[in-house]
Amino acid sequence: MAGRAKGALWYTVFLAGALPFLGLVGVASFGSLGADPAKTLTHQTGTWAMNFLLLCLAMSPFSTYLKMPKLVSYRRQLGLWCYFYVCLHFLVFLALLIEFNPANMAKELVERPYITVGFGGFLLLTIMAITSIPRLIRAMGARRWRRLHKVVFAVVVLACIHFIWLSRSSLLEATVYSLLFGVLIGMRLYYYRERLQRQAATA
Amino acid sequence: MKEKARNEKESQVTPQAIYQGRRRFVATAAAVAGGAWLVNQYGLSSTKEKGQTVAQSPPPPASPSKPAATPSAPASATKKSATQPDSVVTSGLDVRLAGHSKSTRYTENARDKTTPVGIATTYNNFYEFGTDKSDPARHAHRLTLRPWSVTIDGLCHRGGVFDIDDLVGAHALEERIYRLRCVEAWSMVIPWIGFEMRDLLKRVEPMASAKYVAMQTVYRPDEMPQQRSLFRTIEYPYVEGLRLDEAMHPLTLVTVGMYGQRLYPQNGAPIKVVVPWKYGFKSPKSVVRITLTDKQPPTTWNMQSAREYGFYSNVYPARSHPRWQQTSERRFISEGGLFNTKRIETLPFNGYGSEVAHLYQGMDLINRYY
Repeated sequence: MAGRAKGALWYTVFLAGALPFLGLVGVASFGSLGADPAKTLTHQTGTWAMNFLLLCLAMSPFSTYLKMPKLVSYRRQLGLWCYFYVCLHFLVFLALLIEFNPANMAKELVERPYITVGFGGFLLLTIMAITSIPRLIRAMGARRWRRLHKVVFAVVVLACIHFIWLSRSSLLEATVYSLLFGVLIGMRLYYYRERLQRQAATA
Repeated sequence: MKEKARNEKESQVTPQAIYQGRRRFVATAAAVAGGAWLVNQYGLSSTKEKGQTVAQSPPPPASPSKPAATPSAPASATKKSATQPDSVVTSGLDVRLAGHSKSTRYTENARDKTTPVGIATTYNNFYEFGTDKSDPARHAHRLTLRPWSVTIDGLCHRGGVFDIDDLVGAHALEERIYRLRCVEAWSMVIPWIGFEMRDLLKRVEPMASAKYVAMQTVYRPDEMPQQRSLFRTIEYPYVEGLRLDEAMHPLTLVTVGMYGQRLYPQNGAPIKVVVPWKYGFKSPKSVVRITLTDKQPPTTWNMQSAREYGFYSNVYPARSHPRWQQTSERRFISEGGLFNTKRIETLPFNGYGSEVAHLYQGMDLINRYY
């Protein structure tokens, strides 16, 4: 974390975050994004945002499950990678699908519910990303920061609805992601209950 | 129907490479298929064997445009037979495709450039083969295209079960370059080869009581994996329908070819109905049944979500859709590049308003008959 020396694992996580982006840039520059590059890019960036959101949410329960408390310290970086791909996702949407037309954008926000929901998730993530600047974290204090960042659960819900509503052809992918999020949240609830019981026992 | 005087020559409309490629192809196809036709005439071929795929098929159609397309052409384009057209050599069809007349009626205006064949055959919605746009090109080769029969029944005097080659053989083929507008807000321009559906319907003599035409895509779960998938979002077989006067409209085409050759399986081989002023899903692929009825027939997407997909589903920008903006569309005009797709304004009835708007006089196409 901030201030401390960055270990090999930190660089591994960083590389893992950057790789999908580099891959996309590579594929795009060699022109093999398929017949509909805009669609390929929105789908890819959206998928990677989901992947990092999943990873981010997996850190806390798995640190308990694997007894590796250090895992939690990579959560913030994974969250920022998620935000990075969400930003790309939004940018590709704005540039290639909306073509930076504000009237179009307004229309999309109002008439396409899955876009409204997706945009809501983007705004929440923006708040989380801004408050993740080290100086702001310190100013807020760890407790308040952690409380604020519980909005990630709202982001998860919005992301899943966004994915389900935009699926026309097959619900497979959206279903799998929603289930995985469900499992991660279930794990949290389970450990939370255990902790409460332990506290009750010691009290 | 007003005959439109249009000045453009086809060579101005179609990308040069494809145009010249087609000419080249036509010569070879005529040679190859001509032989097959002769064989067939004298009853020497084993044409009715199921699943027959013949090696001496026409060269893959993608080849003419390949030089320009190399980096971006999906890998599948080169390795699988799926990207080749319906290539069973059975009859004089190829000869007739080569010799089809080029109609200048309805031919596109200067705004529209024909979509490269490499895009039109690798970016498809044919959910029976998978829901990704690239799935049909990869899997549609599994579809057995011969023997193929089309049942025409219901309220008509001369219905029956017709072998496709007999059915098509009775009609002169012509090329029509039509815009294709998908409800997903993308569009292409495709040179189809076929004949007007009204000529087919007249042959079976519809009864006075017939008001609608129901159409059905082939149901073959063995060959079409999505038809048995747990995650399918629509029910099969795929069914579509038109009002009889829509089906009888001269723009409504029964197609057997595209880009100067047979239809590709991913585009609906061996026989596809094309209704250019309606969203693409109203143009059913791989048709096996056409039924004349007096009731509005059920249609697949309408059953899946009646609010989103109406029976009419005319391209109609004034009616908003919860998933896609219908006031504009992304036109695929060339391969690969990130900025080669243009967003253009969507026209009512896909630009065929002067031909078809009268069919819907006095109807509320936004709230009631969408």
